[in-house]
Amino acid sequence: MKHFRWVICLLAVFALVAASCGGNDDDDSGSGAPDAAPTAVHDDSMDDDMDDSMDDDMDEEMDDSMDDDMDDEMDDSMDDDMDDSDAGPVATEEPEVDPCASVELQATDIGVSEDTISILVMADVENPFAPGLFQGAIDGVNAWAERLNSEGGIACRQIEVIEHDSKLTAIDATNGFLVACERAFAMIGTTSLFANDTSDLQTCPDAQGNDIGVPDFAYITTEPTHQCSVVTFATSRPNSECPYEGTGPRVVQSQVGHAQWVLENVEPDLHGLYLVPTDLASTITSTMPQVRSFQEIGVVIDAEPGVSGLATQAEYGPYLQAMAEANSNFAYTGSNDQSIIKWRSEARAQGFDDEGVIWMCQLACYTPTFLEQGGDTVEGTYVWLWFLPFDEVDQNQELADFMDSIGKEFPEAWAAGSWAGGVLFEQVVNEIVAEGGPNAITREAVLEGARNLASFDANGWWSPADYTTTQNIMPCFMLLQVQDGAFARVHPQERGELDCDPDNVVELTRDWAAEFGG
Amino acid sequence: MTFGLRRSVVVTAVVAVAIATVIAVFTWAGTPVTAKTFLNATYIGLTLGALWAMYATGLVVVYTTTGVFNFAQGAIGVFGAFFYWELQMNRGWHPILALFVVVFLFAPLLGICLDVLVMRRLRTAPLVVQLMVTVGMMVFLISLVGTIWNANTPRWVNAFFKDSGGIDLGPAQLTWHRFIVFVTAVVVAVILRFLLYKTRIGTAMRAVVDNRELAALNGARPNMVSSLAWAIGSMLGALGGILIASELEFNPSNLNDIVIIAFAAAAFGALRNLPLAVVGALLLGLLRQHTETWLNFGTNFSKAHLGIAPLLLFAVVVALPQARLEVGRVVSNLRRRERYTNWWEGLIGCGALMLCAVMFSGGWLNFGIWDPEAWGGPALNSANAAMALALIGLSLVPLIGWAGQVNFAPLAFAGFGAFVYLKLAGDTGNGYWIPLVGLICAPLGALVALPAARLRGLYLALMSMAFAQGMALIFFPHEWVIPRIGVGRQFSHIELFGITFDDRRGYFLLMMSVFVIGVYGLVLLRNSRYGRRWMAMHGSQAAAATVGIPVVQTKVVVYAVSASLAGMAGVFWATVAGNLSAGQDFDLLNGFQIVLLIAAAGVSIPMAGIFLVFTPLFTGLSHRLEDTGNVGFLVEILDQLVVLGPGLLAIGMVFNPRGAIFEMGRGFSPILPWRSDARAEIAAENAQKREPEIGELGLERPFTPEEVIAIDRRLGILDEVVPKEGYGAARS
Amino acid sequence: MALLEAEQVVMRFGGVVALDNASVDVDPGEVTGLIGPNGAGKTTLFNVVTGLLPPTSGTVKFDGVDITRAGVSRRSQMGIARTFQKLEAFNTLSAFDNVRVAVEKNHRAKWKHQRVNDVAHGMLGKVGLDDVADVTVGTLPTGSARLVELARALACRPRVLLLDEPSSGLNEEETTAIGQLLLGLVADKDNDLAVLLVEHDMSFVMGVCARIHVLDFGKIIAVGTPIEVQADTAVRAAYLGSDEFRGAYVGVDE
Repeated sequence: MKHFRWVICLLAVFALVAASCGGNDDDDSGSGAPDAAPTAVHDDSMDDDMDDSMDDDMDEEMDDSMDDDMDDEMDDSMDDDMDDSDAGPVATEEPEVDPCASVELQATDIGVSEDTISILVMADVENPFAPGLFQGAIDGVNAWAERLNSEGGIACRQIEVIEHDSKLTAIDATNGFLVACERAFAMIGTTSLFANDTSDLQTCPDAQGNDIGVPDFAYITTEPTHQCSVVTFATSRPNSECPYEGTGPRVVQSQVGHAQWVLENVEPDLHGLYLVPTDLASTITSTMPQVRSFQEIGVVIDAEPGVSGLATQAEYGPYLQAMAEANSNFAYTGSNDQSIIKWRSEARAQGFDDEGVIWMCQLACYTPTFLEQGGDTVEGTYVWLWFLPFDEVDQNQELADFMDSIGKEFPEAWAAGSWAGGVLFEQVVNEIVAEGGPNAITREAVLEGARNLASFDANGWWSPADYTTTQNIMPCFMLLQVQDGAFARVHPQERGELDCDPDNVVELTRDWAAEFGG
Repeated sequence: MTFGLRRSVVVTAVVAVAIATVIAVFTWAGTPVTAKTFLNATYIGLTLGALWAMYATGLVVVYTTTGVFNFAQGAIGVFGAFFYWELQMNRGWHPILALFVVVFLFAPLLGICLDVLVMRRLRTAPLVVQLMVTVGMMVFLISLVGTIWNANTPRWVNAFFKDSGGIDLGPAQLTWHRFIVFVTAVVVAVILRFLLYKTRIGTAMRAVVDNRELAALNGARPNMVSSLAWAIGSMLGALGGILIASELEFNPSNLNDIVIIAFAAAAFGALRNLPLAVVGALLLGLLRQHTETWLNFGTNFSKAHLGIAPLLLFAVVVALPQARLEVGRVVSNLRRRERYTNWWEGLIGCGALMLCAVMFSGGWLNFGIWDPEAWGGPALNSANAAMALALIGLSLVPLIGWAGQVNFAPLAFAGFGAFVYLKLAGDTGNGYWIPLVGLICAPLGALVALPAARLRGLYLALMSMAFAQGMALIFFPHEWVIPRIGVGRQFSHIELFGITFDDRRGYFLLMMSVFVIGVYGLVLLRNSRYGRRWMAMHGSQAAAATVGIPVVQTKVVVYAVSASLAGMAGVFWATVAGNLSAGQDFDLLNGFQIVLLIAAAGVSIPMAGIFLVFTPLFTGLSHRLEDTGNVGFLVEILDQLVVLGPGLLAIGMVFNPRGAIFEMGRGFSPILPWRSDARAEIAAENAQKREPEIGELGLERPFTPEEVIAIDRRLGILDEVVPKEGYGAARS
Repeated sequence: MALLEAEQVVMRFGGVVALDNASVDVDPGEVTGLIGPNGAGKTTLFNVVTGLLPPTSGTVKFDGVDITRAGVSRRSQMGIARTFQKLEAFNTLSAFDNVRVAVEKNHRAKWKHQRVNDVAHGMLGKVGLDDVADVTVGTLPTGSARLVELARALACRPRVLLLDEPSSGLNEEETTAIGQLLLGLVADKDNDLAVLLVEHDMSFVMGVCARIHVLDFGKIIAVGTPIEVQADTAVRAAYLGSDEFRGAYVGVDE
């Protein structure tokens, strides 16, 4: 009993502390926070971490690999790439002409003050059963903001990052939208799996009281409600028709370039298994279009069994039986790195002869774990990406900046995705500023700008994507293969290149939920 | 009796096989049947079964010797596996050394600590407390593992003899790791069987649970025996965890999920029979693997094969013979008096609550936590979510709090209610359908309770768990039940009295009104003959039966009432969320958390539901602190508290089985002007504290007769009755 | 014909025979005793009669009807009430509510609140617990809780009342009062009540019982009046060295 009284007392004390600190906080902001420390506590610690660990390790690493000729290389590659970057960063790099000096900065909209722009990054981090889940997404945005601020900020203001943890729950995701609505100019790098209700996001009033919504430069969108949100611009582009009611036929585009390449260059008679992740209905419906698209281009699907993230390695046995029965030479998983590790480990355990079998996986396998844990078991596995791999820092400035800032040798994909969200925001805002000056930034203008963005490629790092529609998938890809325990580029052979053949994309209209037969 | 047992087993088995055959025929995947395929599935099935058997034997050993069903068995395995990872993978110890240290040093130590610190105190505790504490331990251990070993770092554990191929058995092959697993499980089961039935200590272990005092007289040392049992159980858990780790994606919840399958296996052995539990586990492994191999369930039933364990548990519960009503388990000498809120106190309390709600929703009461400008959004949203859970929690009050029956499936019932509402009201949001939802949910509750109500309370708890699992895996994922999330809301805003409750403030007040009505209704119900009857049944089922209360029937009725309340609450829950995700919202662990929180809050008191509203307050607090800066360590502590809190609160029930609200009420009630009884009680308690302790008396001198009487009275012992005349006269 | 008859009851627990062809009959209008050394099977017989244990073989008849397969609550509704050796009170309820539950279950459903309360209070009054009516039973001393159980059993309007060591936990005066109460109850022809009493307090047993069954190792070794039973050699042998029986001699000698 005493324990509970103690907890209640503690609660009361904390509440008092919070209340009093809150007062101070408001006073501070009222009197105008000094420019020196516009970011939150976490950013400071991030900063320290980076200074300490990353600068040492990373710089050395990069120096080794890049032979100090990064700048030259970069210029070349930028020219090689399809799109040139915009004037934004260049403008801020010129110290003598300060466009901000002549303008009196105003608080133009919610989250924009005279000297800061507040953006909110939301991701599933803390939850009792996988604490720290998408921390990488938050780190990515913090790193991006840090870098931008150190280069002089954007729209003559510094970026202030508000972190929100959506905790793998729908309620906390909605809370994130609500906090963003009240305090942030935009959301960047949203990585929340259960953003099941976006009405608050889409109808949030701006400073004028118009219910136009909060611009949401998300990384992933899992449910139609988020994919089809009119204010969401996910950097991993949804490839599906909007609006969509959740049932019935839907137009979906799929990237098949990697399979096409295998058909053309490795195995013309490609037939095998596609594992469909079945833990959520949404994973089934988002995977089936690719299965059908593979069939469209001539890949024979011998079976398309469902697979659960909870499956034991032993449960991959039946898939191998099916492969043996059909004499399959193709094995593709729509699930993650663990899926292919378990699959191939089981193959080894059963003495399955996988000579000539093409194992393939998507972005989810592009992890250091895949190499370390998989070891020689995963040798030869193909992995395809829609951006330049992390080791090609010499090929692209944006990638180099990202790798320099994130402080990890092999960052998570969601760190890259949320960083790209930041770059997208940067591009849209810079265009607005270029046109109407630093006081032209409003949520409305940002939404307008993003909706008319026909091509964004994260300054050449990512496949270009069309933000005017949700239906168009990113057309470019590159293919890696695990060779000698490392990811080696196999196509296109030229470093810094993505394959952007229009034939990479297949468009189909089906009722995808009904497609999965198991 | 034995005939009845056999008949029920045979009937259940026949029905189960028939149903399984029908399912198999309809879902046959068309995989060609070859010896290799068949043998492979069989070997792998046996391996999986052996792993589950290890968990199940741990459960059985602990249950037969201490009478505590250890829900934390899987979590102990998780802890063991992570510790093994730390030593072997992270620090590079030799696998054998790491295995030895974890299984033979760390695990027994953990088991003994658990026993000494917590579990030993559960021996005489009511079932509800036993369950809450072990489930709390499970949640706590898992979140502790998550806290120590951050999930951001990818981890894995290598199989033993990973690279040395395997042994050929017929056309199929078995890896060394799996071979070891199978052999280990069988050897362990045989050794334990021998230990329990052929050795002195084993006999003592089995004897202690039945009659502790008698066993102690015969030379067994109950505390040592109980520690030994926990050490063995914990070793088995750790061993199982380590051995299965290489087969799974290595994370706490994945490793823990296995234990639910082991529950079914243990139930197959009626929780006490080791060989049968092992057989059950192997059977489950074979069923699972052969299902995977030969059958195919399609999109809507894509997780059905995972539902085999809950279904088997269901079948076992149906087949088990009726349990006897136990006598002699009533723990008397409550330290505190129980006093029930009467009707006008209930009115005052509800009024006060409503007032707080109005103030909160109006922004006048923000607990110092929410940004005054920002309370309207996230604060109300969180409060709404919490209110919906509080409403669901309300359904547990009569069931767990009064009738002493445990239900781990409140979310399954709530989800069913939401489903019924969706079918009835469609997208109109017509709130007048809600009572009908309640009526439809009641029979479902009765149906779940019916097979288990004739058994001991633990089975009802397991049954509810199986039900929750089964619904989450088989029922809710079906598109017809919960439609896929589309652009809009699955569940329209509720419309009542011509008002559409589409803003959060209005909705909060609506739910608070419903909650207050619910609380008041429960206050009245508790003071009715039904409430009394249920509490009487909780006090002593045997005695309740002997005053004419049909126990099974009463349990079923309470379950139905609870299901009905949960179903109606589910409508509010679903409309708060707008969308329900079959994969996420019905997770068993979510249900556990609700039950734990409300039990720790004091589930016999209807108002306890409001405790669930505190949870987001914690969260909000941490956000607020984060914004204020410079209190990073407080944020850390609070974040840990949010993660570890539910488990810890539930474990705290060992020391305070009646919950926080009860104690708070005791502290609060003397302030109320009309509660002179509460003041008197406190005064009496203080007076009693001044009485000399027994230890202070008579140690240096003989007891005086007055002291003997005082001691007897304190101990509740009666005086020697000196024979006396007088009855004879009365008779004549 | 006796009101309650247990005939040739056998109860086995695994290899242990707790009751071995035990037969007991109880008549209305008197108190029947059931005595025997510890572990003789007295409580087991109670459990068989009230339905808590299904006998391995044998029959239980109530008012001529075979109730061997009837459920516990059904038997209660027929008029079999009991108390327990180890307390089985409804701990979280008040003394009054303990009795009220029984009244509500065993009297007419139409009864008004007030009438239920009156009856319940009456029962509590009979056992002398008026002043602790509102106290939670779990906090009462064992003796008082035992009396609550007695009042609760009486509130079931029993035709047969099975009392398992009612005097344990009570002091002398209380024991005497219980004895008087029982004799008063069976003497009242309107009640038509039969009492079966298990008791260790021999003076109490000898004082109130008209007939006594003696159980030893599950077998009935003697049946008769108190005087007959005390004279029985088998009974003396069974109790040899046992303190329990010494009291009985004292009681009778006086």
